[in-house]
This record gives sequence, structure tokens and C-alpha cells, in this order.
Amino acid sequence: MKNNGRIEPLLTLCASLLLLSGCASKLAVNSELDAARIAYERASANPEVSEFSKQEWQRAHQSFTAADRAWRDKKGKSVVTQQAYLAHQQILIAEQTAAARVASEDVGQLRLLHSQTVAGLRADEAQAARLEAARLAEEANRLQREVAAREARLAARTAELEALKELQAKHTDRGMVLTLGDVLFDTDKATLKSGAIQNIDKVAGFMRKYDERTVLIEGHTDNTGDPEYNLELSINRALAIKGALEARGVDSARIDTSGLGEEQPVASNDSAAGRQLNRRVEIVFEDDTQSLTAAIEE
Amino acid sequence: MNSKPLNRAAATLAIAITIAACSSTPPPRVELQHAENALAVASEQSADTHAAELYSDAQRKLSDAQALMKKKKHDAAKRLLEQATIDAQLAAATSKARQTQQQRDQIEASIEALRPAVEEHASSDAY
Repeated sequence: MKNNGRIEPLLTLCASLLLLSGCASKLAVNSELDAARIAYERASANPEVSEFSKQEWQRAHQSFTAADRAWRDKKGKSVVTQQAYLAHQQILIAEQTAAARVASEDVGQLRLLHSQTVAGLRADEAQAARLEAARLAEEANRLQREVAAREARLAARTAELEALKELQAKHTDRGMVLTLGDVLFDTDKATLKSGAIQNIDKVAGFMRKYDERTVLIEGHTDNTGDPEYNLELSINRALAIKGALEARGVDSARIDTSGLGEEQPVASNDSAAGRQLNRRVEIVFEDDTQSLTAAIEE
Repeated sequence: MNSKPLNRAAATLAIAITIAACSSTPPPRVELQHAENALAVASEQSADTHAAELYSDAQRKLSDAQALMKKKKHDAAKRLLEQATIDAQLAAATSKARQTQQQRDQIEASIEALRPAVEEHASSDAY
């Protein structure tokens, strides 16, 4: 009995030692640590984590290493689980921190791109506005030049009309008409009296000044005498005026002549006064005398 | 031989004292402070909106831990407080990441919205 009493505890010790060594040969699975390991490997494979969250990753690495060591050292399950949980969360923190910094860098670059784009658009708009302003300024200039040109034309025509009025020309349906009475000619002659020279000089001066203007010179007579003779006399008198104007430097191409004889009286031939009015030469200032007077009236 | 039972009793007592000493860990006041701080930081990051689940996990663990502390279960409370702290930190980091990503998406969208105008200008510049 004594022997047995001594051997029994010894056997028990041996058995428990065997049991313990059996435990040591394999480590118990810890699912929390396994989950942390998966996260650790995923984060290790992501270069952004070590680059953008260096501190957090270092902490995660240490935390995981500690959990793993605790497990290998066969610390209690609750201890390993707790450490594994903390390590797992720390790994996730490192990953989220990296994601935030990556996004933050993107935000910086995108903001720059955005403001450059906006600035570009504004510059384009400003450029378009400048072009439009220049176009409008050019348009305004053009209109101003047009107005000025119109005013100049109007002034020129007004001056011309004034000049015609000074010649004693009358405004008629046919245009401005200057009537030279028969006092400029000797009776039955087509030669100009010296007294006519002053009037002819004025008309020639006008024609030289307004060198676009053309005239029609019409000779008229009263009804005394032979109509054929009167017709010839009226033609010759018109030609005499034309010749005088040519002699004063007016191009003959600008002067038409016609003789109308006694066909177009302006007064009754019954009286001496009426017949005197009918004996006349009319200088009709042609071309756009209509528009000339219209321009004045505008 | 007479002293043997006495020794055994002494050993048992010693073990009991040790265990008792272990279970009577002092209240984890520092851990509590850490957890509360971490939650405050997470709240500043609007984690309650942008990482709501993680944030409420942390909150729940904090209040559970406080309940355990009242029952003097300080070991369990300490473990929960450690978890609450790291959960709150993760909530903060996640919230920040999501908000920054949202910001990025918004800027990308506004750049995308400018694209038609840019293309129009590019084509009108060609004239």
C-alpha cells in the first residue's frame, strides 16, 4: 500500500505532463486572429497603406504581431481574441486612413483642374465678350462714318442748290430751271449781248464747280414771224449759249441743246409783255436735281 | 505527516487569494477616458452620420462597459473599453475617408458638368 501510495501521484504527474505536451504540439484555431490575418495580408499587399498611412500601418503591424505572438505563446483564448480584435480594427484604420489621404490628394488635384477649367471658360467668355465689343465698336464707327458721309453729301448738295438759287434758277417739275430772257440777245439774232456775259460766267462757274452736272439748253420764241424761222432761231440761240459755256471750259458732252420755236409759250402772245416772256432760253439743270431737292427737304 | 493537510490548505488559500486578487482588477478608469475621448473625436468627424454602424458599436460597448464597472466586473469592462476605443477610432477614420471620397465625387461631377461648355468652347475656338 505504501508503494502504491507513492507511485500513484507520480503516474498522475506523468499523465498530466503528457497531456500538456500534447497541447503544445498543436495550437488551437482562433477565428478572430484568422480574420485579422486575412486583413493583415490584404493591407500588406496594398502599397497605398504603407505609403499614405505609415504611422497607422506601423501600429497595426505591431498590434497584429503582438496578437500572433500571444497566440503562439498560447496565452488564454480571451487574451488572444481581444488582441486579434484590436489588431484587426487597427488594420482597418490604416486602410481607411490611406483611402482618406488618397481621396484627399485627388480632391486637391481635381480642385485645381476644376478651377483651371472654370478660369479657362471665363477667359474664353471674356475673349468672346472682347470680340463682341470690338465688333460693336467697329459697327458704331461704320455707322458714324456713314452718317458723316451722308452729312457731307447733304452739305454738298445743299451748297449746290444754294449756288443754283443764286443763279436765279427756279425749282420746277423738270428740276432747277434758269431762264435767260431775250434781253441777252439782239432782236432776231443769236449772238449774245455783252450784258449776257456776266450771267454766262456764273453758269460756267457753277458747271465747273459741280462737274457731274449736265444741262439741257432750250431755245424758245414768241409766235411772231415764220414758225420755221422761229425754230431755227431758237436752236441757234441755244447753241450760242452752249458755245459760250464751252469757251469757258465746260465740256460740251455735258450740254444738250434743243430748239422748240414757238411751241412752248409761258405767257400769252397777245400782249407785248407776254411775247417778251416767251422769247427766252431755259437752262435746265438735269441729273438728279429731283433727289437734290428731296435731300434738302429731308 | 501531520502538517501535510495544513500545507495543502495553505496552498489552496494562496491560490484562492491570487484568483481573488486577479478578479479584483482596479476599475479601468484610464481605458474609460480613452474610449470617451475616441468617441468625441469620432463625433467631431461626423462618424455618427458617415460611419453610423461602427460609431454605435463603440457607443454600445462604452455603455456596456460602464454597466459592467458598476458590477465590479472590471476585466470584462476593460476589454470592452479597449474595443470601444478602437471601434471609435475606426469610425472616425472611415467617416473621414467616406467624406473625402464624397467630396472627390462631387468635384468630379462638377468637372463633368463643365464638359459640354468646354467642348463647345473648344469647337468655337476652332473657327
